[in-house]
Amino acid sequence: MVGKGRKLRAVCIVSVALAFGGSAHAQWTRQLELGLVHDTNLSRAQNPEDQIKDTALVARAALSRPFPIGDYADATAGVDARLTRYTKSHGASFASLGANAGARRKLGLGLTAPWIALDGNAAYEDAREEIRDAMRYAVSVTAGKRFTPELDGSVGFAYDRRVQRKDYVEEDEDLTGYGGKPFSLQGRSLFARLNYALGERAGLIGAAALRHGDVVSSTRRNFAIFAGSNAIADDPALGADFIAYRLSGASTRTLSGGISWSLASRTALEATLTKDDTTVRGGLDYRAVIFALTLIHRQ
Amino acid sequence: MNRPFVLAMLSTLSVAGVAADLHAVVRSDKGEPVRDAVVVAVPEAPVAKPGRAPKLEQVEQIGEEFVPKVKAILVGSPVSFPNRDSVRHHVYSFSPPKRFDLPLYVGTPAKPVVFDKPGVVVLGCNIHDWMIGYIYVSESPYYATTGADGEVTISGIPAGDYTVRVWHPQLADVVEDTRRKLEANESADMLWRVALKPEVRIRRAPSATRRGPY
Repeated sequence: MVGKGRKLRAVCIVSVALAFGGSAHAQWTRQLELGLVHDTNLSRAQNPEDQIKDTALVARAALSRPFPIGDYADATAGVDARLTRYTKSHGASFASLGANAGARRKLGLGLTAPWIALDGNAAYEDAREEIRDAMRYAVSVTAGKRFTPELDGSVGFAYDRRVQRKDYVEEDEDLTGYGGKPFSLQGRSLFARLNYALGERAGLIGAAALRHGDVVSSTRRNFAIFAGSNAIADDPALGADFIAYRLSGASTRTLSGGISWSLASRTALEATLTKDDTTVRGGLDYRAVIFALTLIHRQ
Repeated sequence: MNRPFVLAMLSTLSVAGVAADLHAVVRSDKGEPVRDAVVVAVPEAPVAKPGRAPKLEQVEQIGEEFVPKVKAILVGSPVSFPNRDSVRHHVYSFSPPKRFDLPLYVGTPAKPVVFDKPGVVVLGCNIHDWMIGYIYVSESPYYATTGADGEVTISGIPAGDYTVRVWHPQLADVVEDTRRKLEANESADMLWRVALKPEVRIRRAPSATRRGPY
């Protein structure tokens, strides 16, 4: 399926051009991100021989616009385009185009007044391998507070859902009880974030999350995971002999830390290291470490 | 306590009539020019015809910053806060000389805020935490703010005895006032060397992991 999705990638490129080609006085806030992501277990596999290490080039452009809702709150709506291109697992490369909306309000006046936010987004992901094409949805509610000029934090709850576009179970396949949409997933998360400024230029980032729900693990043929899964399909994005299995009732603990370095008032370089530990019933646990280096410009 | 270091005193005459000029130079303890220092000469006896009266002043919001960052005004002056940005701002202050807030707005709020008590008013924006500004409300009409060269001249000061002070948002210690007699047609030079503490500002940086301004 290489070559598929050119239309959507073209849309993404046009979006980037729109994001930064327009005049600055408009009410749109524009954010452009360029980065590298290295994933030690892109396949989310348990067995070391099935774990695919890969690095991706990531570009993201977002446009958002505020809308007033009363004297003390603002809503925002925006669009978001993303390109992720893996260096080895080309079939997992994807482009996505989405829309987002949110509202946030400070519950008082001043630096240390707490705030709440409600956010939602929907995006269509067009991968090189059609099996991975999906709609993604997420909603979150977040509450936060600045404790000192240097330290601020937030906690929240999120619900995410991914709906695979096509079902890949053939009518003549004998897979009674199994679905053909291993990439259709949903989960609920609790998360917390902390930011600590080391000065005007540097800042530390810390985050933790606990997610409970479905995960997809791609491995070579494996009876144990087959028995523990409830949807399967070939996953040629990671190898001709790879199969994607959906595992339900999984818990993922995520810890993330990083540093942000301001290059200018609207430009920063962010480096983060994220560790995912996933526990699945039946001992199908796996781990992934993700390093991301991102250049961000906001206008 | 950091004492002002007054170097130069009387110098050449420069202005015709009975008024004097005060040329102020403010340097850091490292010798660098100090921008945005407010220099005020307070007459020790009432002045018959003060040099200026309260008038409409403004502090703009441009590029999500207050412009100017330090604004000196005469007590009783109304100040408008035009928002030149496309995003809404919520300007507020908790400072005792003037507590106020202007809920989220774009453009110019219809009613200016009157600063009727002398002192320092610290401005903030409730949306963009990194925005910080200062209004120095002077009880005397003889004031000015230093430029990038750390210098400023206050012209047309009536002859008499004055208390001269300097203020800056980052002053490490209170600078003692200086008593100074200004003669008619005199141009007086004054130099302060002040210790400045590092500026504490909320970090302003976009993030890939955090959305929204706060």
